[in-house]
Amino acid sequence: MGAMKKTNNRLFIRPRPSAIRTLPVLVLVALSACTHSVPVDTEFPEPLIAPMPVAVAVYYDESLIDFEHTEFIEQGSDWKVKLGDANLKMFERLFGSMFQNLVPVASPEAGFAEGSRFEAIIIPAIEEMQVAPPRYGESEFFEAWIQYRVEAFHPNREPIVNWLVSGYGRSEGSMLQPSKSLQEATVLAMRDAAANIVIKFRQQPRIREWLDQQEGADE
Amino acid sequence: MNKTPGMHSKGYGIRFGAISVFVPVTLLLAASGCVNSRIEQVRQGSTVLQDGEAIVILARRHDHAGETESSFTDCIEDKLAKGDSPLNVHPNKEFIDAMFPWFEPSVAPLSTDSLPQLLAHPGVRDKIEQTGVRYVVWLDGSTERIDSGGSMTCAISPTGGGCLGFGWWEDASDYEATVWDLKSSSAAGMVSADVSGTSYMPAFVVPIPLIARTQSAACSGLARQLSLFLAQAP
Repeated sequence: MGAMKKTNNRLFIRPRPSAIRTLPVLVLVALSACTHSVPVDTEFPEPLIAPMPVAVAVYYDESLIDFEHTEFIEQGSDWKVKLGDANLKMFERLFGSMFQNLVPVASPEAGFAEGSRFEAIIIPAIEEMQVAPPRYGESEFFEAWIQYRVEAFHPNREPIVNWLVSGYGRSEGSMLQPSKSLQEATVLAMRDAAANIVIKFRQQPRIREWLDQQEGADE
Repeated sequence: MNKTPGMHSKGYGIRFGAISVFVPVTLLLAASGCVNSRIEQVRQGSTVLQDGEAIVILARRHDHAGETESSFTDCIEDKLAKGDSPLNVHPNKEFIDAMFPWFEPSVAPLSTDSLPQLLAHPGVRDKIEQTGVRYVVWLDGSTERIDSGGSMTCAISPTGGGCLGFGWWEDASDYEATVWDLKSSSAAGMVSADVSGTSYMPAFVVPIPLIARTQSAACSGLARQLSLFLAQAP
């Protein structure tokens, strides 16, 4: 009976049941407990547009320059997206093409203080961000959604426009490189927002009025 | 008392024998799924690529539903650029970057009616001429699982494992390629591929996948038809 028992033990995994049974659980716990870090480093193409014939000051806040977003996922890994200076690169590229003369300033006050040099002071900010990994049975995509706020002021501090603009991107989920998939989705969301800023900023009624005023003043 | 180990030894012999037969058979059959495909074409104008003219393959992504997979776009681009009668294909990423922001998913023109307005923007027509792109091929569609069934049970122990059961699933790959002529700001035609196929996976110790590669068949069929549609001038 002893030998039989030994055979059975070998065949039916009695020697180390706890280790084998808990292994998948440990793997799941290890996976679910970790936080994926997703650095976003990308270049933005130069927009193919005619610049608006105005001189503007732009102020980039610290929160925009070094933005991080952590998405906490229930029963899954958390995702920390580090935009780093990607926002700064994006706005420098966009505004540099959108306005004939662009001057970065150290603070909004510095822009208002030198108001006579500019037709407006622009302050971009990141308002909100959300990301979502693939969900079993629902979506095979990594998704990213990002919302920016673009504020423009007259040199006398009167607001011209306070505009919210969003971008959405998604990328096919990759089991081997999930961080890369989310990075792609984030870059697509930023490009989507960038495209909307380039095309739709000058279509905002208040901006059109302001541009008309500038043209009138030049004449 | 010694019978039990003996029986198990015999069992191992059958299983390893089975594996040695099933694995090569599996590999052979894995590529032999059966698909039904229908390729259609509608031509609205003559389409011949002259010297220095190129095409670009772009995926429609404006509504994000049934979005064309980037792997499918790459497959079409690759087959058209390297087929029997290769076409001059401009890399799509390069084109979208050069034209930024006009071909980004949410702002790209949805119909040829918008083309004159797009080309009227400063620099757009010149940039298109620089790229040499004459035709834009818009890809729309995706591969979806439309049905599945069966059941399979797999078990594993320190001495081995195996599966028993039968599973199946049906995929449909429906794609449409719309060709725009940027020179005349008009639609040149459309090619579509509807491919469906059922994959099977019987499992007796080792699962044997009989995969119906619908997306691959749709890519080959659509690329073949597009290369005829957009023949390069001799």
